[in-house]
Amino acid sequence: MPLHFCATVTFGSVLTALSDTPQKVMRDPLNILTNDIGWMTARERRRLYDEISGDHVQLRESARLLFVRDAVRAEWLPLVEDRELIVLFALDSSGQSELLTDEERSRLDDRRHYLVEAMSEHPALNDIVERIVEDAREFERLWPRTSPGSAPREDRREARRGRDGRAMARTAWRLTAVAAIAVFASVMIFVTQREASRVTLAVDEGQIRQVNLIDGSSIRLVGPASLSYRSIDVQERPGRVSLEGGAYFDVVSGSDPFVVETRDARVAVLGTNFGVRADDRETTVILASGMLAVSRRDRPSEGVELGPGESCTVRAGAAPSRVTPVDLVDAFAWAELFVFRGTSIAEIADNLSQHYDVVVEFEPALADQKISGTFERSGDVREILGVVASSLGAQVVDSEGRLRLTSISD
Amino acid sequence: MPLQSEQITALAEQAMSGDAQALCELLEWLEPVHRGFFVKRIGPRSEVDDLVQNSMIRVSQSISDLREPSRFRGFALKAALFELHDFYRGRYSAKEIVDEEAGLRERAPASFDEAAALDLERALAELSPHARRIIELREYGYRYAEIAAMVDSTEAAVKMQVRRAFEKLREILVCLCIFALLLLLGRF
Repeated sequence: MPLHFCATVTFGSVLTALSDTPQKVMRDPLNILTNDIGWMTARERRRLYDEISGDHVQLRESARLLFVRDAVRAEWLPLVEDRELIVLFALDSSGQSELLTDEERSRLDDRRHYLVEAMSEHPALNDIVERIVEDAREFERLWPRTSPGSAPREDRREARRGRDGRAMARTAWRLTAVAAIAVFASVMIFVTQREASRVTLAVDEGQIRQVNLIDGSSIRLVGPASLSYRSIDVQERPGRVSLEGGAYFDVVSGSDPFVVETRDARVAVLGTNFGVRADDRETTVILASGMLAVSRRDRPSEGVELGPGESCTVRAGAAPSRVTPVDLVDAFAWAELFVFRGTSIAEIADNLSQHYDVVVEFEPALADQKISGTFERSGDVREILGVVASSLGAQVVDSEGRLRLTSISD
Repeated sequence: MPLQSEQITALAEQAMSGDAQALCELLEWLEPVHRGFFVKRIGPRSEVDDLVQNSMIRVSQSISDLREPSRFRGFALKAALFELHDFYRGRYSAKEIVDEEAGLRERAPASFDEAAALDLERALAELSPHARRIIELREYGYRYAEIAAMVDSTEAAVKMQVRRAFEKLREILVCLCIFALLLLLGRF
C-alpha cells in the first residue's frame, strides 16, 4: 500500500477530477495514485504531504520516488524548456507559418534541427505538437462565435444607455485593470489626501470605486470606505494597504505577498480574489478563490487559512473566529458583485432572474455546466449572459423578453 | 451583431498607435474569446481567471509588436497558446510545490542506496517507450485525462501503465540494491 501511495508522489501523482472544488484525499492507494499534485489546491497537497510525513515507510518511499522522478525530469524537461518555441514549431509545421513574425521564424529556424531530433527520440514531443495544433483549431472555432454582442464603437456607446436613460455601468472585469495599466499614472480620480509618503483613497456611502494597480490587481472600494498605502514607485505594486470599510480585492499572483490590514485583522494573500469588511467592532474576510491567511493584526503568526468559499471574522482583541463556508453569490452582494466560482448555470440563471426581474432560462443540457467569473450587479444582464455563453460555446436567444441560453447548433 | 473583421483591424491599428481607449475596447472584445478558449482546454477552473488576466496583459504589453493590424487574430492566438503552455509548465515548477517536496525529502530518513542511485539510468532504460511517453507528458504538465486523449487510450489505462512502470522500476532498483549489498558483503 505505501508503494502505491508513494508511486503517486514519485511521478507527481496521477490525476484529479476536473473541478474547482477541493478534492478529498483518500487513503485508498489507487485513489491517491490518481490525484495529480500539480493540479491540486495547496490545502489538498498539504493534507497529502501531512499524511505521508506521518508514516515512516511512506516518507522513505516518497523520497526515493522523488529521486526517480527527478531522473526522468533531468533528461526531459530541458528539451521542453522553451514552450514558446514548441508552440511556434507546431504552428509552422501545421501550415500556419504566416502567423509567425520574422523574429519568431528566425528563432525557430535556429533551433528547428534540435526539436526534430528531440521528437525522434521522444514520442511525447510529437504528442505535444499535435495537441498544440488542436489547441489552435479550437481557438479558430471559437473566434467567430465568441463575439459577445459587440456593435461598432459608436453604436456600442449608444447602446450603453439603458432603457430608462441612465448610462449603463461598465462590467467591472479585471480587463479594466489591464487596460488601465497603460494609463495608470494619470488615473487617480478620487485621491483625497497625499502626504509626502502615503496615499489615501476614500469613497462615500453608496459609492463604489475601483483602484487598478500596476500589476493588473484591482481593489473595488464599497463606500463608506478608505484605503491607504505608502506611496511608492508607480511601477511597483504596494505590498501593504490599510482598509476601513469594505472592499473586494482581485490580486494577481506575485512573488511577494499582498497584505491588507484593518483595525483588528491582517490578511496576507498570494494571488487571489477576496472581500474584506471592517468596521469598529470586527473585520470579516470572505475568500472567493486562491488562498490567504487571516490573523489578528498584532499576531500575524497566529493565523487561520481560508479556502475558496470560506469566511472568518476577527474581533478586537480576539483570535480569528472559526472558518465557515459561505455562499459566494450571496456573500458578495454588499460589494454589488456577482461572484461565481464553479457555479452551475442553473444557479446563475436563478440569481440573474431574481436580481434583474427577467426570465432567464437555459437548455437542460447546460444546467450542470459550471462557470467562474465576477460581474457587476449593475451591469447589463444580456452582457453578463453573453459572456457566460461565450465561455460555454453557447448563445443567448432573446425571445419576447425571455432570455435563454442554448447550445449553438453546427 | 459581432464585430466585423474590419472593425477589429481598425481597433488593432488604433491600439498599436497608442490609443488606450481602442486598446481597452479591443481587450474587452477579446477577453471572452480567450476565456472560452481556456475553459475549453483546462475546464472551468479558477485558474482561468489568471490565464485570462495574463493573456490580456501579454496582448496589452506587446500590441506595439504587431506588424500588421490585419494579423490580430494570429497575434491573439499565439498569446493564448503561450499562456496556456506556460500554465502547464507551472503545474510542477511552482515554488510552493518545489519547496514542499524539498521539505518532504528533508524529513525522509537517508536510506537510499548509492549503488542503486548510480544504476538509476539503467533502471530507467527499462521503462517501456509507451510508459515513458506517458510519464513525460505528465511531467510536461498535462493531466491524465488529457494524456489519455493524446495517446488514444483511457484514463484508467494510462494510470495503470504508470503504476506498473513504477512497480517495475522499484523491482529493478530493489534487485540492484540487493546486488550491491551482496557485492559489499563479498558474496559475488
